[in-house]
Amino acid sequence: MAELDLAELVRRVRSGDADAWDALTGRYTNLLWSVARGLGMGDADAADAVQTAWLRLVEKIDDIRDPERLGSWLATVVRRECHNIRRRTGRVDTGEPEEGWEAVGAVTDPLDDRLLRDERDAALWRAFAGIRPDCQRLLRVLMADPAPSYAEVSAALDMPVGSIGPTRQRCLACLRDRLDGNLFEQTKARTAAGQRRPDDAGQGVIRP
Amino acid sequence: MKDEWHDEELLSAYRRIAADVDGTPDDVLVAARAAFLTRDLDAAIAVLVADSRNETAYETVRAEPDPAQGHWLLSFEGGGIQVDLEVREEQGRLRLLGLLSGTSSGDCFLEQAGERHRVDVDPLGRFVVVGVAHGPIRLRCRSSDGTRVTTTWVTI
Repeated sequence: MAELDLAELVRRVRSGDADAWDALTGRYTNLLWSVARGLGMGDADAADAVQTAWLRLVEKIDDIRDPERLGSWLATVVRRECHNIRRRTGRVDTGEPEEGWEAVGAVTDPLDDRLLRDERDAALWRAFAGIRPDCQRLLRVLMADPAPSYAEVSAALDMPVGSIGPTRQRCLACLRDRLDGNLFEQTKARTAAGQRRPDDAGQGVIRP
Repeated sequence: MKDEWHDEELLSAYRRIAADVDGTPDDVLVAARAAFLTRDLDAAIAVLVADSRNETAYETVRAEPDPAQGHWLLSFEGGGIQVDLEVREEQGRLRLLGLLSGTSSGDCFLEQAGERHRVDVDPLGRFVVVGVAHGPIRLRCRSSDGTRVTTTWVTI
């Protein structure tokens, strides 16, 4: 089911196929969660924004003309809901849905070192928490699994498709700059303490 | 080291870490699947026509609702009915003050998180619901001609 193309999944959902719906939610829920987290939403607010997008899709499923743009549509709904939530909680005074995100970075506090496989991962996540808010937003959305299309990222952050590639490059460069320092310090410390582990033999190269 | 960290590699590493430390919570996935159960092919939809969190349409309305002060207005129209909702924060919960027109009496429900609560509407179409949690809601009513109408989902 998950490997069916979107047009077929949408067609099946319209005819009432709950398995096709499950496949859609499996494909996009992490993207939507990543968008909400990228826009700084806490657990409960992120959950609400994501759920609203799915509920809206149930209402609108018969009106979707271009199923290939479904991810973008869902991402747009989440972004607007996040805006509404921010307005409600008084974090922004005025402005259209597309404005007012300048200072908002991604949620980076769920870092729990116990959850991370090793110090390198912890260093990576700390570096992410230290970059500019706009880079955090973009990269957090790009971290969605499966990886989003640029059209989906564009909808999620209301930025032109053409600027995503260059911004991504710039943000990753910032990240690398921070990492070079951090990881070098860490590796040096471990080596000094005689704790260098066999898997560190790759000179700190990050392997996915 | 720089040269070896290609963008894709770095992003893949982050994708894996994000899944570890900030993956989609299970209940969010379960709720997403369950959303399909809200499908109602026969009901007409009353769409959100104004939301004071986004628009200036309410500027002339009385005490100038201010979402940052926990007070805002929503209006829905469609399927022959109209719903105006005033939402107000009250000690962490929400109080809804509603005005319905075009509905038949006594058959109106508030839906939230898979639950349905009957709404007591007075003869003038007014109702109050207190103690509502934040999250997506919708109202389901019947129009005067008996058609089932639901408002679109809205996060409050």
